[in-house]
Amino acid sequence: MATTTTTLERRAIWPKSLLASLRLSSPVFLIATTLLVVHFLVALTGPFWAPYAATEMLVGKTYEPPSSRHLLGTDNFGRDIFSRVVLGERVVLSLALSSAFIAVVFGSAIGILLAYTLGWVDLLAMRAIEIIISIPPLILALLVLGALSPSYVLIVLTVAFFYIPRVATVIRAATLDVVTEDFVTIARLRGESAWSIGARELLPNVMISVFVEFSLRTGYAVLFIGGLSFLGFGAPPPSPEWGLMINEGRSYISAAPWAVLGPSLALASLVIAVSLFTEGLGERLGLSIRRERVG
Amino acid sequence: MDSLEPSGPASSPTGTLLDVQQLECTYGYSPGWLSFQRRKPRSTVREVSFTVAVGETLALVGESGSGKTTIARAVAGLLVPSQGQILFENQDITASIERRSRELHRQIQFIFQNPDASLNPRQRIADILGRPLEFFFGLSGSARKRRIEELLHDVHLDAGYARRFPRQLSGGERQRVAIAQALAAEAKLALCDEIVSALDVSVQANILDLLKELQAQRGIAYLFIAHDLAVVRWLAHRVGVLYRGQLMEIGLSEEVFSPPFHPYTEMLLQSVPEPDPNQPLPTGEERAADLPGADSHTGCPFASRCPRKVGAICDQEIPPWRAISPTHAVYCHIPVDELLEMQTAH
Amino acid sequence: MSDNTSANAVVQVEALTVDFWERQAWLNVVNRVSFSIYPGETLGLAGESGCGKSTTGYALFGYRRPGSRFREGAIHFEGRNLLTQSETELRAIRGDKICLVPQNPATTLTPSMRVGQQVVKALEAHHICSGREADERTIDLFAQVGLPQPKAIAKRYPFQLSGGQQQRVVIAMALAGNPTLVVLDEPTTALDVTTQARILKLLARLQAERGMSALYVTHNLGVMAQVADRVAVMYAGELVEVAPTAELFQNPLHPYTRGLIAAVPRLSAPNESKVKLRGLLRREELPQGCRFAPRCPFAQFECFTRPQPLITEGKDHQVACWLWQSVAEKQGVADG
Repeated sequence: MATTTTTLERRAIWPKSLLASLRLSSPVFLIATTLLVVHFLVALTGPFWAPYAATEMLVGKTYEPPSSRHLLGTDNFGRDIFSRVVLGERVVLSLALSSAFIAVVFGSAIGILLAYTLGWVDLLAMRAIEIIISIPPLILALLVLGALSPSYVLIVLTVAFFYIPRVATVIRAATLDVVTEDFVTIARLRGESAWSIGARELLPNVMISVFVEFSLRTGYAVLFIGGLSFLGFGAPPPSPEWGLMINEGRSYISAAPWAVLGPSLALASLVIAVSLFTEGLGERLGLSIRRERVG
Repeated sequence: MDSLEPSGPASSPTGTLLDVQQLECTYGYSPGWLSFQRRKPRSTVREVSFTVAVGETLALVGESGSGKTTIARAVAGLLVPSQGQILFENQDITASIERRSRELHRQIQFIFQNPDASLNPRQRIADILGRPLEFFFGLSGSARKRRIEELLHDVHLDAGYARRFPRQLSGGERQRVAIAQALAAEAKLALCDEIVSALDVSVQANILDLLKELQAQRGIAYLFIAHDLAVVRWLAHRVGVLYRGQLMEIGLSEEVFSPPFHPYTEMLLQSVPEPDPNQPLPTGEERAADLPGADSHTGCPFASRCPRKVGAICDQEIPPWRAISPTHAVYCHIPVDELLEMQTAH
Repeated sequence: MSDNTSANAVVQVEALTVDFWERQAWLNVVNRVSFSIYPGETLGLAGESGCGKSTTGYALFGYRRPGSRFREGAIHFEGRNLLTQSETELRAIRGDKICLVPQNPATTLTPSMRVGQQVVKALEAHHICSGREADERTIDLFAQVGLPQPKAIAKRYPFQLSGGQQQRVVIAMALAGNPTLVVLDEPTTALDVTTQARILKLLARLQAERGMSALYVTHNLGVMAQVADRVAVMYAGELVEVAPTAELFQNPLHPYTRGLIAAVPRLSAPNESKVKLRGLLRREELPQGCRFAPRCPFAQFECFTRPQPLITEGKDHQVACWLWQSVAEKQGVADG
């Protein structure tokens, strides 16, 4: 019977200018974002300025230490490591982003629909999701990728498959907050279909979670794919994928440590940048949860 | 059970818009195997019957637990009653929303209590109002835009509001948009579930005026749910008073607000604090009521709290409906003339 | 009541000014509000949502919301300025000398602790008593606040009680320390109307018995008329009228007060009055002068530029409107 009610209003701060946006962000977030931008630029422009091709083998120049011509030296095949790292950026990012994108698109759709329909469909689906999540991803991935001939497409689909249920769980939880709101009931009372309600009423209100999930999954995918490649079940050689490079360089690490160091540092910096960016993003967008007294 | 419950002033079949008959809603029924699991169903609404005529306002007033919101939701189709019938324009609509026709969805609109939750925070007002126009009438483009402006004008909001987001509006303005949303559908019946309870008094007054104006203009009927009798005094044509799911009194506004009252109505009226220090709240019960016991299905639900309780009969036997006029009836063991005498004595 | 001077006031608020940090700027929420509360009286603080009355009420605890500041002013209580006290000093006062009864009892009480236990904890926290004595004291308090079967109720959890009973428990907790001043922030808004009536009667009795002072914050003028000895009306952070209750309702001077009284839904007469409030408070458009001017039907040009201090008119009646006399004439006395 309250005539004065309190409401929880989640308000994202959308600052009016880029400058204001910079002022609001923490230094860590800014550094992470800058680093991320650098990685993206490298991925986009790398092929234009990398000194050597990824598969170019320089005869007689194997195991060269870093020099002005080969910033990170050469590997056992005489390939320039620096160029391979730079060109590998594109591979790593596109694989990770594609997996994350597919996972988020399907996962969000499933999550939103489950949160809306609830009932026994939701019950069964959630149990299925829990079962899939409980399988250690690496093992099943190895089975799949080991059985079939590895390719970029297969990697993306496999990784996406593992992330879909996880994304669905998160987005479903976020949607449950929204589903009980009156405006959703109003749409239901109008006779709108579940799809229409999901797209029009629910999705826009969980967009923040979707973005954050996308960023998060990208980071995880980079590591996961790197790990798979490292084990030999990911990108097929002679791909300049970093995980693969690390694995290849392992056998002669004492002779040419830079062959492992280069891709490792690149991988680490990317993953850290994405993680910190995701954290900062979540903080900024989920910020300002206020209680307001109404009427 | 047979009731003497009277129908509204326009009681001819053509004038009746909504006809609720012996509505009963229960929840909590749990069969279970083990005896401690078995729970008896709890009634939230017990055999409530009433009608709403075209263009009239029927107010259902009650405190928490009275079942008034449950009734509104049953009429809307958000829940299915366990017994009883709901007729709209003489057609049985007792089914849930999924089974109802689009036309019916359009004819009955629901307006909610909380102005923050009724509008999608991610949509502009134009989209919020535009959707029903699109959905029910297929309007688009400039026709849609024009209609949105008309609707805003009808609820006394500036046309510029169309571009705004709900968070840029005050509580009262949001409620106006919620009302406009119901108008957009050109509904015949609006179910108003405590729509002014969350607003300040000054804003409340404006919204109530708006509702009256719209009714005069469009002939829309309201089923107005409220917990405050004073709020409905000047808005409702007819009033029904509910207690614990049971209709206790129903009649024309003037009739319900003057004696003889049902003892519960009397208690409600006495509890309304008037902004006049010379009219103090009457002396009476100050101690807390006992904890609500198991729902008694025998006798009058109000028996345990009734200041005019006659005796054991109130606990044991279901009260009869007593007609005071063709339009006014109370659910009480006490005969009407006795009530009148008691209540006009002081 | 009129021979109360600031000397014997229980609490004296002086030019209290509070700002909130919102959207990268300081927004003024309470502006130079001054009033006193005398022994044994209930001062009502009335106004619409957002007028700053709750903020003022909470300031009496030296409490400020994160992201707010006390820009100016003082609150004198027992010879000290509450706004300059340290947290430790304030903690000794809160719950002991000055107590709070907030709006929603369901969120005030800890859901996982039995209600009797919660009151005992309050007693122990303020070193009033402990152990067996605290248990007995609790039962006694419950009886005093009109709870039936106090011993049985003490063993219950909050969710097993009705709203009205929960609020009585909260009141019992507030009274545990025999406070000098009780601040009640819309204590009955979340309750049913019949429950509200009972609680109001309970509060009246308790106050009469204990002689404590109270600040009653509410937007419901009907309730105000029942509980307050004096009423202070706030608009947009400023006091616009202060008067004894009977006087305020019979003879409201400020156009806002008139509008507010007229807006209350009445059983006795319909709202056909012409003093109804129009428009709404727009914080971005507050003029330098009288903050009510944009909505005032009697506003003249000067009203927008000239700040309105409280003028004393007659005994104890203060109004912040330089035009009050002509307003009264136009409206006819005792309208609304």
